[in-house]
Amino acid sequence: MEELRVPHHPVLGDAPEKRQVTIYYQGQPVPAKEGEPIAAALLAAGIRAFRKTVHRHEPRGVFCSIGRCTDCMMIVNGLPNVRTCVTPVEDGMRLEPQDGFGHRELTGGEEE
Amino acid sequence: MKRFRTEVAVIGAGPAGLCAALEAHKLGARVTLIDENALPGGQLFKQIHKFFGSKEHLAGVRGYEIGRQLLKDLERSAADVMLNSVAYGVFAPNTVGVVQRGEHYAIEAKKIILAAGAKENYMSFPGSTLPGVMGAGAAQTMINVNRVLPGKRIVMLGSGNVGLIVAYQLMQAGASVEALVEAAPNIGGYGVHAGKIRRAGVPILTSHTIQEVYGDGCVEGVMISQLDQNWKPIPGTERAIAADTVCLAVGLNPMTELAWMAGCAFTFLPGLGGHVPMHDANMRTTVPDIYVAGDITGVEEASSAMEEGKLAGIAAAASLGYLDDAGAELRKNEVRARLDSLRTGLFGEKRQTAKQEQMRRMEEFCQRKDRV
Amino acid sequence: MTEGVRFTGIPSAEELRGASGIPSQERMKKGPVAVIECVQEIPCNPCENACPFGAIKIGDPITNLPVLDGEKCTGCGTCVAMCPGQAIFLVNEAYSETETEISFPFEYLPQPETGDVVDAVNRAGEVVCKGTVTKVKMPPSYKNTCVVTIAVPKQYAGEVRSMKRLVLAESLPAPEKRSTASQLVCRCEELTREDIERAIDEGATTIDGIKRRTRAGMGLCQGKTCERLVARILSEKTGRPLADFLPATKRAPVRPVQMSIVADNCEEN
Repeated sequence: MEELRVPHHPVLGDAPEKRQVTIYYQGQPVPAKEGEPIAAALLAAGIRAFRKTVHRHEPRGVFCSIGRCTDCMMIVNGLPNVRTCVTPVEDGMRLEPQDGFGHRELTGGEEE
Repeated sequence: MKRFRTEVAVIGAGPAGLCAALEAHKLGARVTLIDENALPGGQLFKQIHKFFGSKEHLAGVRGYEIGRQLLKDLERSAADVMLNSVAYGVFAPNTVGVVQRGEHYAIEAKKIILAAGAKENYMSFPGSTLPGVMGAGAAQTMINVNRVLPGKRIVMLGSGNVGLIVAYQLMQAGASVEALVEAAPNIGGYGVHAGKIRRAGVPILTSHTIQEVYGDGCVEGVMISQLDQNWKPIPGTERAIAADTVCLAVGLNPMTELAWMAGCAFTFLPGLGGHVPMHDANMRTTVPDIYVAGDITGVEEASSAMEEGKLAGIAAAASLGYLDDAGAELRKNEVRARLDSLRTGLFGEKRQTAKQEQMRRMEEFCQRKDRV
Repeated sequence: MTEGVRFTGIPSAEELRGASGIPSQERMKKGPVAVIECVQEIPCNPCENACPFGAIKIGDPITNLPVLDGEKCTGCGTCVAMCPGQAIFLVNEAYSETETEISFPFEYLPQPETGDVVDAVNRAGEVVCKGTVTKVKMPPSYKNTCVVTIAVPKQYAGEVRSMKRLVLAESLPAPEKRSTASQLVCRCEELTREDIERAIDEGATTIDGIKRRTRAGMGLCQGKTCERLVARILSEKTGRPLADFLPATKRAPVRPVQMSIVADNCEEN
């Protein structure tokens, strides 16, 4: 796979050092940088399709990257419809691609 | 629900909102600045090029450096900043509904400054929903803020300044831009931005369009074709380009939802990005306690957004009695002069004309209202 | 009609001939001098402030094209780094009998090193000859812009304006198309142009009308993506101007918020 992270930059200089954390995409470990959006970590790992749509079951990924379009939604720690482009990674986070509306796990969800 | 009161609530901490909040706070007003992101600055931190304008507009300084400076000013101030806070509605009278980390707030403000910014236009073609097709701004966020390339081989659609600048920045981050496609017969943005990417070997294909993007589950190829004088594809000119990413830089439009909700009167000006809330020379809308600043008033650039923010901040503080009329006018006129100088020349004149037309319609609106 | 910076991004020979930032031939012969290839009136004047010798004049308004005073210009190169448009180059015809030095901003990685032989490119990015790197400068005053100087054979001095990036992603042959994806206007509700047109045929005359019939704009993004396309289809089909089509009624929440937070908390009121 091609290297997609940009550790060095002609104008911005070297990327700030950040603690590495691990998130789990469909159970598989994916390295991530603390505080970065989930979507960035997945793109860096070459994962581009984040969910399938409700009606046509077509793949979608990052589109607006600023929380407007909701194309990049996934099931995060059991909670569906999470916009991954504006949600930071946390160590041990579990990610599942969302098929259609997704479903909320009754146990293990982050809420309450 | 938690309720609290403030004097000036500013929604959006991008260049316009930050300047509005800082200016109003400097004059003594109690300010609450609300933004949905974890960091203020809006889109400034992804702008890594040196700004245009003159010294007073911070020309020659890179966007993120301007962002850092504004943040420093904000930290030094006592302005109340609510981050990770979604302003989900504006309700009568003068109340902003905010959700922050599972908490619900109703913020009652004497004056509200809306500085919500803009969003990218979308264009639809077969495959425009495939993973790998994204806004140019989305790609810019990924490379310059998150330091991740969305792909290695890019096709850019649109030759306005956003398309030209983001194409350049994608190459700075290590990608290759296979082509920049533009439907018009000429380049939309500054020639100097186009010149940078031409020297880097990027073909700028004017009178061309993307006919289709294809791939198995994500972008693999882009079919482009040439357009005739009537903007119709010329059969036989189709050509496929290998690419993993397609960036749409087909313009922006103002984020006006909150202004609509607040009952502001709107007018339609294509030169500013569509329907925009009408405002007077103090950035005040037709709803007396609501002001607007930045791209929400019509899409321009960060430099003018900052000036409009200052204008709204001064005007809001002055209306609360923190500045006498003469002092306020003096300060406001300085800002207005700087704004005017940004709206000159080949590219700025169109915006200046649209802005003047906006002002004319606002005056007409107010006169009509007075008569009634 | 297709020549010139507006059409190609490259100033034409004629545009350059008339440019007030280009030094005279006599001045060029004397040694390093700024060549300002700025031919469009844009609001921008950092070059004027950047020059420590007052050799560049823009004045008021700031859209004036820069005027170079070749006699005051020492060829220091500060303006090369400070022009946000990267339209200023340094040309040193006095470098040697056979070669001319060209300096240009180079904001890519990796940076070349002095002594490297690189591909010199023209304004269109085409390789025209080899060049030898003579200087690589990036002092703090350049604000993170690297300025590279290369020596090229004299006959190419008028053409060479940059160098090829040292590492490039390899271009690939276009893959074959195996499937056709949908063409969606409303991404959230997965609606095509035909779906919108059908609603208009059925009597919808407003964006709200289309929204009620098709759900376009009713998805999670709340019309932020499709609304303008829907307006355009309405305008095209009805012949009425875009100004007529007001956005759908805006209601809270204008961003996705968890309804339980808003609902639970409202009970107190």
